[in-house]
Formats: sequence, C-alpha cells, structure tokens
Amino acid sequence: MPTRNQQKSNRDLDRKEVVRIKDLMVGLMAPDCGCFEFMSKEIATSHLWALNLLRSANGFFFQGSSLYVSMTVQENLEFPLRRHKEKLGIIDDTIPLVLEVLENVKLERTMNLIPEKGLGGMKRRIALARKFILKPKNKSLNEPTNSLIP
Amino acid sequence: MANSLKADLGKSKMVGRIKQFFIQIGELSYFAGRFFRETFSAPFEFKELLRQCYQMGNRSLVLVGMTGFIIGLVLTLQSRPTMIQFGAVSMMPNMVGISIVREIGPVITALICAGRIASGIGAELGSMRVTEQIDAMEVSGTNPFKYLVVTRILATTLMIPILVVFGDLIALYGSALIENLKGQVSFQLYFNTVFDALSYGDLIPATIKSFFFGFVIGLVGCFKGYYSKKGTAGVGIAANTAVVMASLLLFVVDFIAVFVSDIFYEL
Repeated sequence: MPTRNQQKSNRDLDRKEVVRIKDLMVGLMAPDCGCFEFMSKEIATSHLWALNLLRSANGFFFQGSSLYVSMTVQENLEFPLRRHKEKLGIIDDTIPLVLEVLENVKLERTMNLIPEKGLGGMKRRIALARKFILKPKNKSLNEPTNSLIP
Repeated sequence: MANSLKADLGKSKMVGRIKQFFIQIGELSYFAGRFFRETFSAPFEFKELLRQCYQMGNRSLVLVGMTGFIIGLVLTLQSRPTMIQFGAVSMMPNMVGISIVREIGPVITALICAGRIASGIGAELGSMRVTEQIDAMEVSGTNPFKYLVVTRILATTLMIPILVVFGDLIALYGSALIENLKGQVSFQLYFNTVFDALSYGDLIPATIKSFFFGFVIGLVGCFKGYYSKKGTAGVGIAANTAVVMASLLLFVVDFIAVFVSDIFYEL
C-alpha cells in the first residue's frame, strides 16, 4: 500500500503541478521512484531520528509565515527548541534563547502576544526568529523579506 | 440520441458519486487505522491532550447544559397532557428519565457537539493545512498526526461521555422543574422516582455509546480538516462536510449500538 505522501505525490503529478523540491528535501514528500539525496543522505529511507537531525541543521523558511495561531510568540519559538531533542537534548530554560533571537529581530517585547493579532511584518520577523533559533548550518529562505518595510 | 447521451451522462455521474462515496469510506477507515497505530506508540502528547480536553469539554459545558435544560422542559411539557389523558401522570418521571438517559440525552448532546466540535476541528486543521502550519510542525521534528489528530480524537472520545452525563442531569433537572411547577411534585420525589426506574442496563449502554459518538465526531472532524483542499474555500468545505458527515455517522452508530444492546437485553 502506498504511503500517504506517495499518494499525495502521485496526485500532485497527475494534476501537472510542480513538485516542490523543498518538500522532497525535508521529507514532506517521498519520490515515487528513484531516490532523492540531500547532503549525501537518502531522504526517503532515512530513519526519522536522522531525518529530524537533518531538518534541524537546515533552516527551512516557508513562503507564508506558518506561525502556530493558537500559541503565543514565546510558545511558537519554544516549539522547535523543545521538539528537536536529537540535536539539542532537553532544554530546561528556553527564555534566554527566545529573548536572544527576539532581540535580533527587535521584537523582544512581543513574547506574550498572539502572533496572529500582529501585522504582516511582525509575523515575518517572528517566523525568521523561529527559523534561526535552532542556529541552522544551511538556510533555505523563500521570500524572507516579503512584507517587511526596508 | 440526445436523450440516450443525457442518460449515459447521468449514469456516469451517479457511478462517479458512488465510487467517491466508497473511496471516502476507505480513506476514513485507513485514517482510523492510522489513529490506532499512532495512539499506542511513543511519544505521547499528554500536555496537548489535556489542553484539548479543556478546550472541548469545558467550553461546551454551557451549550450542552442549555440544550439539555430546554430538552427536559419541552419533553415534559409536551408529554404531560397526553399522560394526564391516560391517567398516567405519576409515570412521568419514569418515562422522561428513561427516554433522556437511554436515547435523547446522548444523541442530542452528540449532535450539538458535532456542530460545535467537528466543525471547529475541521476548520482549525483545514486552516493549518492551508497556511502550511502542519508542514512547519513536521519540519520542527513533531509528528503532526500524533500532535494534532490523536490528541483531538482522544479528547472528544473522553469528553463526550462526560458531557452526556452532565446534559442528562440538567435535562432531568429541567423536567423536574416543570413537574414541580405544574404538578406539585417535589424535587426529591421526582429524582427518587427517576432513579428507581433507571437501572444499570439503561445507563451503561448509553455511556458506551457516547464513547463511540465522541470517537466519530473527532475522527470525522480531523479527517476532513487534515486532508482539506488548498485555499480558503477548502477550509469552509472541510468544516461543512465534517458536520454533515459526523451527524450522519452518529445516527448510523446509534442504530448499531441500539441493535447490539438490544441483542444483549434479550440474552
């Protein structure tokens, strides 16, 4: 039985849509046939643990801000910190790290706000901060300065 | 010629719809199978489960309470004149108690929750899919199915039976109020008569049935939201079809549950 990702992939190809390379790179989609290697690792056959390590080493920035609407800014930024245990282990105090990245984007006072209530530029900067909180080696940014005032 | 073409077209449309219906059932079954697989494998998202229980249980209390109260009032008001005609007004608490606990309470509560919770889940997960939040979650090293779907389905499965019991009690209270105002029956006498009439054979099948109702509401809401189509229209369709499908499935599950409990009664 094909996996859900394979079904999704087939469906997308049927509709003659362009398969996004990003989805293949982070393992959101599996190739129908052949293999897809990224950083000399085959994504489709990688163990979840190895795949998560690869994901944390590569900062992927989505075209939309993709912030979690039900969480505050602090919880949004803590989410990848608490989840990538393979790379970071269990972190007791995340606030210094959160404050550091928020200072970098000049939004240190927004810790307890719900990002959805903010403006587009603010959401964009918080999304950037969330991407950089893991200090990734490689960064793949899709229109990162969109809706930011220069 | 034109008529035969029209008939062919109508036939192929109907075949397509039937095919689509069976595909939906197949996908829903696959989704349910994945839910059971993921539920019993680590890691477990207890914190998110508690948050969802709070969101779904606590925030539906007022709605379920209000509906239950009105159902209790209306049921008593409507059936009182007929019972007086037959000279069986003293049987009112027994009749209302058994009908609320066995059927009306669970079904009405589940339908209210299907409207509130299934549409909420469908719209929430649908918008998360559209705005790539689910993809972002997966890239953040989290299994979105476990974090979003398993917790929600478990929360509805656990919370609906509690809401049903709460709704039943409020409905009985509403019924007792009418009996007290119109028929001079004290609350104590009313509830004594109700609990004399009720047995575990009434309460247990209704409670087990409520767990299945909760499971269906969560499952359909999550299924429609998780695989919603891209675009804002997809979110609306997901919320809408979640309510319709959940309500329909509730009645199917209700029929099966009553049928099975009836077999046990006969044994």
